[in-house]
Amino acid sequence: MSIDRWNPASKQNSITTLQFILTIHSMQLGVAALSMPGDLARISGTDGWIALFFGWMFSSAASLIIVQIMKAYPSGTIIELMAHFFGKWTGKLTALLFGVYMSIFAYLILDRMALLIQSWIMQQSKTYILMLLFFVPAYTIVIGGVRAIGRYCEIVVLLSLWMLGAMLFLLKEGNWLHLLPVLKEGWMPVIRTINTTIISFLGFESVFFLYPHLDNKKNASWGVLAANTYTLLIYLFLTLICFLVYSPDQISEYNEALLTVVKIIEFRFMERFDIIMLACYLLVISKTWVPALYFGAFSVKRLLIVGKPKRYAWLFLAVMFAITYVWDPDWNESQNAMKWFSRLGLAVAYVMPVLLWGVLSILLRFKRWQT
Amino acid sequence: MTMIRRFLKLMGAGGQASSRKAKGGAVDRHAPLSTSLERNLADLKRIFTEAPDLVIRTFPYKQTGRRAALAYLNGLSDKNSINNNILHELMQVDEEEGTPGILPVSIGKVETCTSWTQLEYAVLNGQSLLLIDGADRVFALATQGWPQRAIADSQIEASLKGAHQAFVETSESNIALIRRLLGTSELKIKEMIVGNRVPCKVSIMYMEDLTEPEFISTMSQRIAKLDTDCILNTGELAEMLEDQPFSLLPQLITTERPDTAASQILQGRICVVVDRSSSVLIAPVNFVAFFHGIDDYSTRWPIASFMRLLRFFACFVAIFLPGIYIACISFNYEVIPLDLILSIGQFRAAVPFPPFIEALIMEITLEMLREAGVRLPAPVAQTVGIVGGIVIGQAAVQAGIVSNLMVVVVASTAVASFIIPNYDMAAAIRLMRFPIMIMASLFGIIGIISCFMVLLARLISLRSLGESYGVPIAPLRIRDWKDVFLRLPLWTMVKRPSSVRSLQKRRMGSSEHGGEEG
Repeated sequence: MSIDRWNPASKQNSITTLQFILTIHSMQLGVAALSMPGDLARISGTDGWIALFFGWMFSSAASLIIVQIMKAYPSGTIIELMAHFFGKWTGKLTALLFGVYMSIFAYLILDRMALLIQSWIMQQSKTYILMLLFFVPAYTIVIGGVRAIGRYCEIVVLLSLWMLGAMLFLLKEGNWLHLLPVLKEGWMPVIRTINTTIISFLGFESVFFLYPHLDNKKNASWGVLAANTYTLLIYLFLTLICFLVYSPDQISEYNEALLTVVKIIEFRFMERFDIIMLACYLLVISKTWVPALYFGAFSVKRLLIVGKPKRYAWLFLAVMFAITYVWDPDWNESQNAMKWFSRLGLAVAYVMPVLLWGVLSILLRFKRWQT
Repeated sequence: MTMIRRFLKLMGAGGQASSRKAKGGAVDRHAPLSTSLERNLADLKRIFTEAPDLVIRTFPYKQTGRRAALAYLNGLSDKNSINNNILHELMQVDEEEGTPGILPVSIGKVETCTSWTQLEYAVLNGQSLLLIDGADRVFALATQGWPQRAIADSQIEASLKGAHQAFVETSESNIALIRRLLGTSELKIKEMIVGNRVPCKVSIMYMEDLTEPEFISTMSQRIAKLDTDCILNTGELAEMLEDQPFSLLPQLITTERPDTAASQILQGRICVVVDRSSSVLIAPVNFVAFFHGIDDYSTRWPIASFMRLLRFFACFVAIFLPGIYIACISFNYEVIPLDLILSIGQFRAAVPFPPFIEALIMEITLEMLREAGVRLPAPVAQTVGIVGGIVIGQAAVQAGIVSNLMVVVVASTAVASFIIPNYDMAAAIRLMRFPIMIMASLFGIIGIISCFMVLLARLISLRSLGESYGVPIAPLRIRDWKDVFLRLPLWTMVKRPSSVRSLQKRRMGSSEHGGEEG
């Protein structure tokens, strides 16, 4: 009667193309968007938004390569693919790598989410208590597998569209002159910003796990492109709004430029609109780390084989809680950890696919491997 | 020791097999019937001991000259047809008039029974048994005629412009009501029996050329698996058939309205009619279907669309408004502008309770009033409403127990929860707001968001008869949205909702396209 919701080969767990697109997009758009306008402005002034296009180019290229890799073994995730081509132990190693990578991904963002709540809304609450609040929904979604995740991303994207609309209110405060002159200091500052923008597109590596679930595999290539483009459009929109509203000097003063800019919106019956926005934005952030949590737990389950998905989901949440309880990173530690993690992210999401693709395309030229 | 032994013995005897044996004395229900009338009558009397309503009438069967007996339960059978159409014919029609070998009764449905189980079931369902000396079978004649309520308007699903007929407590009448609306031979009925002690007829109705066969097989498998004493009500059946019984949200619709049932069957869903119950089950359903009423299709589409939007808004208000109020007053007061918070503070200054307790007092008072109104006869219920209204509205504020604003919040919440057309969903929503109020009082707006996430997560992972509950929102089926939050003109809905996976997609313009497409 019960279906294994974590089995990528099962038809019961397939997702539609839209869910595929939105899940990738969801993993990309998260906490980074809050601080990105400020980060970009600090490095390259108001030209930072141009660098987003480069980030988009790189991430699209890398995700297309990932799709090409996954085509070699369409019925399994990256773990089964590695095990198929390079043997069981390489598969285990991949499971370990992604288990660690995705778990850190999930933890750092969940922790950052708790820190955001703590610093903006509930200064006196402990981080681990705030984390605890999101464990029940996360557990429900994670045990539902990719299908539940796809649906969750779908519904949250739908429910968060109004926030983009609300941001449009800010345009009347904006001053288009802030963007001029374009490329005032040449291309160099823009190129230096690319590193930041590339990292903000991290999350497309979920294709490694999502691809076998996609019901119509022909759509994978344009699906990842659509996901990256949608993320780019939202980043552009948010960054430009911040750049238009704030003067070039003012913007670099804020940590979460996006939240401070929302503060400007005010109604006769409501002050501090940013708090409402942040609370609703938590939904958007949750769809970043919940998939990562699933991928992490999935990889570890593949590594250890035994046990039910439910147990892994609980175990992961319990470990996350325990780490925060013991370590309790403050804002700076979280920032440093993110910086360190982004290097790992570059390796896993950009370098590894390119290498793997190279190796695979050579291997596949030989008959022996063409199965 | 003896106590324990006796207890164990009782536990052992609790099984249904033994309870069955105990009831019927020495009669083996699966044994073939005897050819002797006397023995059969004796067996029948042994099965129905202490049953003064069992009438047995022995008489000579004129056609063959043998002795015969007619047995029926007094209150469950129609005496007119027994007297005029059975007894009269059997006692008067002789060999010349009748055809030999054919029963000379003027009754539509005649079944032959060969075992005592069948006989027992037939008698208990109001059929009359005709036992003839020398025959190894017994005829069960359809003479059902138990006390029955007239077909009236539905009480809990009132409609302004829809039909004013609601289901009654007999499945034959209920099936007839649906058949009247769906007069096509494609409407199929699959009968099943549920209940070991008291068998109850359950009929699954569906359109053969529309309904996904998987639904029918899943539903009949689930019904066949039921191992229970007796089902008295559709609600009991629904509870046992639900995919996730621990969820707050109802996963099957029970309706009292034949037109609702018919419109759901036409979309490709199945409908389960339970004998002795005045409502039917609809499956599979999704979350939004609980917010649709039959009136939506009989009013003009802009009005119907507005009503739908109003209902979804009301659902949001009914779930979240008290929580948001508590969060804003006790936690996130920075959201409220200064002038407003000062005036709220003025009201609240006299109230000794924290906002959560204040809200709880009001909500519970309101729930009690509502429950009291349901239990009492209509004229008294009105009095309760007036007294309650004054107590809540005026006296409580003047006495300083609750603040003015709280009354506004609770009253709007109550009104909002009345708008939701489905009783089960409205009740679920009423209950849902209590955990949200608790979370709001503990964690403010973050608590509400956390509850909202739980709701979303439940919504996407729930299933109804194996189908996703969140459809067409998540998984998104944008083409079905013509009939979700809005009700667009009927001529735009050329196709059936794809979320029901009906076998024929098109419901309009099929003649232009050369018949229905697959």
